[in-house]
Amino acid sequence: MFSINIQGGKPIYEQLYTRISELILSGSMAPDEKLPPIREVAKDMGINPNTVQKTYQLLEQNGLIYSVPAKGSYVCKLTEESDALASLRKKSITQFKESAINAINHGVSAKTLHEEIDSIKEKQQ
Amino acid sequence: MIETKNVTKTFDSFTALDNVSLSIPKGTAYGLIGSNGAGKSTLLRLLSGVYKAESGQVHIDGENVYDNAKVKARVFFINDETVQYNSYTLKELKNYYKLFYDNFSEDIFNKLHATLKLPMTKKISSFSKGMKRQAAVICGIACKTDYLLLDEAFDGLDPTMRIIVKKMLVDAMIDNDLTVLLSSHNLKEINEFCDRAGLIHQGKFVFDRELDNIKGNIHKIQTAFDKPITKEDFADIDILHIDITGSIVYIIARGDAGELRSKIDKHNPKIYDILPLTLEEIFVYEMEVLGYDYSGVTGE
Repeated sequence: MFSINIQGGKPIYEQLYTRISELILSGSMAPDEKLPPIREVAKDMGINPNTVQKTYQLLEQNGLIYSVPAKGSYVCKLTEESDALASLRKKSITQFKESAINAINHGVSAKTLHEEIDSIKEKQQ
Repeated sequence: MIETKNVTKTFDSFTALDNVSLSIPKGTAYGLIGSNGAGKSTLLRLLSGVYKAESGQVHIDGENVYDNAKVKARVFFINDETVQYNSYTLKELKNYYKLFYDNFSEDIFNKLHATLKLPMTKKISSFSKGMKRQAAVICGIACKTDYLLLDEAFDGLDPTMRIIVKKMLVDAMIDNDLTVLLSSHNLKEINEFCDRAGLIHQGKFVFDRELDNIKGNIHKIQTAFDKPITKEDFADIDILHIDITGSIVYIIARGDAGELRSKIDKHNPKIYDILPLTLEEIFVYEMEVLGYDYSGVTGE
């Protein structure tokens, strides 16, 4: 379902949030697609249903999913202007900066980093 | 809600629980951690009304538990030892529980039993340890109590059975707003299944935390500088543990990850990594700060 390797030191709802938001933003989960019920996710992962509920609440607060009473939760249609997309982009830029600083400190040249980005772009196209 | 206030329980000259206060909100899955002899089973027996506390209060939803049939009918305790049922068959055991628990659901029992397929008409004394546990768990869930206490929750269950039992607990938590209190040596299990956890050590309740809070708020940082650095340089950080070897610094600190980063960035680190901490490590450092020695807490 949402396969993640649960890490001991990170809140599980955060790990699950990251996984589901990746699926939504990458388009692997389409707009208006139904999310599996909390019960199924908790059973499948062997985790506490309260944790799954916390994740779904956070996804809804951040505009990634919407819920229909008595039916379930569905993926939101994300536009270029949506806050969820903006905050995720901001987060990935921060992460990228951190990795880039480490890479430069380890002696990787800026040129090599640029080449890596270009090759990723090529592969995706 | 389960609540104990300043509870003490002694056996002759041995103090099994010393001034224990805790509260467990309804609908929570609560993990009780501690070594053998720490006082976990004593606490569970007090909460289920098997023992009477010498001093202090043991309340469930505001009512005294000991000698209170009304409250006890809302609590199911799965004991570490199941010898008391040995002369029954599972069918007899089921009928026995039906007498005491008004909400007993034949339907849930049959559903769970269909998954586990335990013999109904053989004496429980002929069951293996794992089968005895399964029998107790399905009875416990079928009784549909508001509170389920499990001593050494997953002991004697093989991995497949652990998964099945957890699934049963998930259903009961969603359908009946069940509050689960389980004791375990196994931190992985507690990490995955519990909202809150408490640690008992030598009869004392050391701490009690919401797992998401402690996990999100404690970080292991590995960093390095190209200048001499001392502990005093990090005076503005809530450090639990620090280890400086030459230019490499390991820090275990409390606080928001972003804030920690900006405080350390002031010293221009050459390397900065946040490493994952296991729940076990978190407990080691939390206890260290409180002046306890963690060794042996989760040792089998």
